[in-house]
Amino acid sequence: MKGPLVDIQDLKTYFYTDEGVVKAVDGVSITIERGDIFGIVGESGCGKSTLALSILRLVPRPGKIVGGKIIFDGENLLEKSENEMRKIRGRKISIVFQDPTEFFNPVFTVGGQIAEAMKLHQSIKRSNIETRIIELLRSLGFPSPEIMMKRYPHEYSGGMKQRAMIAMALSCQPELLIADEPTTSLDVTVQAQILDLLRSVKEKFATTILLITHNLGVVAEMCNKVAVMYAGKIVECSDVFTVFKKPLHPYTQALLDSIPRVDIEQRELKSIPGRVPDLTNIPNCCRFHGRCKYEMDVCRKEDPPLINVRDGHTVSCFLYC
Amino acid sequence: MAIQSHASSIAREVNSLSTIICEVKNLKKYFPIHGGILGLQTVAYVRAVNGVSFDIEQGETFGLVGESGCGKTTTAKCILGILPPTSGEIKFMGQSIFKGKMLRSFRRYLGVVFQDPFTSLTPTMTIEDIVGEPLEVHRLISSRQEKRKIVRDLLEKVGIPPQYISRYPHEFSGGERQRIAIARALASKPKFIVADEPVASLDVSLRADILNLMLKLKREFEITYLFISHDLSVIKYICDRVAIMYLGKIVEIAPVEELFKKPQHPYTRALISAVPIPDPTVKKERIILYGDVPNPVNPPLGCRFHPRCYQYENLCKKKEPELFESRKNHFVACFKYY
Amino acid sequence: MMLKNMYKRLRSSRAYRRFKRNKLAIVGAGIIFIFLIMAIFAPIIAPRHPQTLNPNSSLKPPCAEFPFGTDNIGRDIFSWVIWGARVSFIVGVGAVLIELIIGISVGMIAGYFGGWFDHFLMRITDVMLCLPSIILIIVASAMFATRSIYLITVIMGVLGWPWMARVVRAQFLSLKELSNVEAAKSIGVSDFRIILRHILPSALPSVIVLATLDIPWYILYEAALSFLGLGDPTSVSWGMMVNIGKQFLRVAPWVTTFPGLATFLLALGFNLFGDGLRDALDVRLR
Repeated sequence: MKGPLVDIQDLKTYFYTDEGVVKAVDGVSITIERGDIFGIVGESGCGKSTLALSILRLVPRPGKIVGGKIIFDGENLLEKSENEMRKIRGRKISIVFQDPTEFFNPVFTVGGQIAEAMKLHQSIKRSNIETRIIELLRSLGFPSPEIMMKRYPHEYSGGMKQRAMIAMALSCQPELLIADEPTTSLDVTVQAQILDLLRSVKEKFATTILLITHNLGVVAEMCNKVAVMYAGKIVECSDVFTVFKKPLHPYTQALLDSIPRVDIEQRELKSIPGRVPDLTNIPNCCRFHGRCKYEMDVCRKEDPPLINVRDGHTVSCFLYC
Repeated sequence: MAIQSHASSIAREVNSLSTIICEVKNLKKYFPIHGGILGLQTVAYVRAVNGVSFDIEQGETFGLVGESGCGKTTTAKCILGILPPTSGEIKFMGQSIFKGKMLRSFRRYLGVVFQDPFTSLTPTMTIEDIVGEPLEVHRLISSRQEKRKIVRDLLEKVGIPPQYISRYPHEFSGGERQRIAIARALASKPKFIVADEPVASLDVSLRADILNLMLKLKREFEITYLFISHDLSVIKYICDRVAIMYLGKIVEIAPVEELFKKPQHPYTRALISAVPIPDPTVKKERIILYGDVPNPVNPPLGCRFHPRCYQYENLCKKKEPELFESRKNHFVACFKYY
Repeated sequence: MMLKNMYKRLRSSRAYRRFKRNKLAIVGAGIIFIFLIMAIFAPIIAPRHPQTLNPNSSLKPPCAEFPFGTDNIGRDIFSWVIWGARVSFIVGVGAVLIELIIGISVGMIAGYFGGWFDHFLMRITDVMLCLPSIILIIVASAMFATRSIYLITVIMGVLGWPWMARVVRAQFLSLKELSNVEAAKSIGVSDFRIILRHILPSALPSVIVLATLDIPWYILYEAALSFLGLGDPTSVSWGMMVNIGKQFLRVAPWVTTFPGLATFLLALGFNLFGDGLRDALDVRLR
């Protein structure tokens, strides 16, 4: 029995800025099994993108991973050298970002850039690379891939660029695909296509996907497990049905109450009062304090631990301690 | 002063006569693409808005929905009078906006809220000056103290502590800046506010705040909204009537309940089905559209939507359907309903 | 009013803090300050008036009485350097001010209104940028029959504005597309007010940085002109003394060296200060 594909234990990533130390990821632990589509959902500034970059050790300066472990396929990524990490990036773990325009080099053809990724990680003969790229593009829904691969990024539309970025990420058949807000900048009909694509990718290539987004609808549709992140910590984590239908953490509940929906009649939406805490100056108490309707005395004094309420449903809230 | 009172008297007249505050008739806006020698020739046009007509009634929240490139923002800018239309007519409070140059006195009855709270407030001006500018421009106040008082009241109405009146935009968060933008839109006691994606740049949990604020202000001040968005769930929550735009034309207009219960145009159906629902137990039939949103430079012949339509016929390739009333108050531009 | 606002914002801004941490920039600011004091208090600090002739003390090396030595007609180099700071500041800051006033006015109108107006103004700047300024200065000086330092300053400023106009125009071209301008237009704010209140204050910081970096350029320019013999022979400028001293370079190098060193230091000071300013503001603009 192989263990989980990814086991993150108490990860801490801090940014040392002029204004102070920003504790972007402050003790996060999650477990991703093979075959999962694992969702991390949270609003801006909660640290989810930093978490994704930490896994690949691509956190930009002045950020630094200061603690914890990232066990990928049995090995701790934080103990690897830069050379070893380079072999893993693109090959075993790939990432897809929000903005496909910034991702591609405008002076090279798309096919050329995908080939570069392949040549780097695998020893394939030149003649075979082209066939592999065409096959890959075709399986990702590109019409006439032989022509498309010779085109430049600016000749692609937004949705196609996103597909091309996914193609590049999959070119070496990674075990884990990290998708950081992959559809946020796309139109909703194109988003539907890309999400469909990601689902088929999972079927065809048996890739495990870590999907990061602020869109709860996307999470509900795509993921089987979800972790809710707030101010650098995981506040709730479980399978998707439990989190959406029986949310325990007040933030999760409030978040679900604040979003409008197209399918049902809603009474007045409620937004969450107050502001996200200043990450350079986090007081030693529950981070949701001041905004929570169930606030108790202890919430102002201590930080609640993440505890297992039942069958893998973990929550970080004093209501359940 | 004379012009202003003339506008006010017209406004009063309009109020008592008709209930249509904004009339758009066959609006077209083409952007020329230059090319040729020395870039002096016009080689093609981007047909951003290609014949759009609708009426907005007083007191309603009219939604304009579409994806990127559909022309909704361009339409809004023409209505606001900051972009001159290529052809067509726009009437605001019964008066024609001639060639995009609206009489300045009418602008008093107009308010606007833009998408990006970080660039829509001039960073070098204090909140007092930003929110109070409409008052100064239309000479609605006679002294600085009066301006201060009105601005403080407005800030309080939108939920910003009035003592922050001398601060600068960068000292506020995104959600707060958007409220300040709303306060500015309200300053001259407008009758019509154009909101172009007002919550798209905000965090999910803050959107409800702004939407509820807009609803509250609408009831309190009897404001008509033109609400532009690509987000159908927001539209459903706040609008009374909705128009769906595709590639420069309106394909469907209906009251909001009707639109979501019985969408008719295939594009509307695909759009609604594409919105992900935050409930994993709901399984929908997904209509996935083929291909990408096409380029407004060379729209397809015939019905613009037919290359992506899942139920098109031969007629759709040759003729363009016009909007017609298929059900009560429900207009659609599709040959299937003729 | 606008200046008071800017000052308030400056003090509280991150840019200010960042600037303070840049050691070289502080050094630059310090150098400028020292020379400024020299310039303002010249009559008090300098032991004697630099144009006082002491024919008996011709070409004396640095000593107690004349710390920097004397030139061939006995002028005290030390006093000359101190008084020369005035001319340097007048020339440097004066030319830049002229450049700014004309350049900003032209640039903002061209950038905001565009159209044929923009075309017309840009063609003028194109032409002006091609003209060799040294020739123009010679011609202008000949025309006016004098070579006063003020004339030279004005000519330099008038020749320098096209470049500044271009920079301002570029800023306006991008800033006018932002939604705060659209909002202002929707409200009905006049173009004049939009330019002055909504766009110009945002464009100014980068313009000021570039202007600051122009000051040393003009100081050196004037020194070069004087060195070539095209400067104002009646002014107490460092370049003038460098020019005089070049004949005696072998026997009395101090005549050239000290004014030359002063020119170099002040130019360096402004460069360091301007660089620091740009670094401090650059990140903020990002």
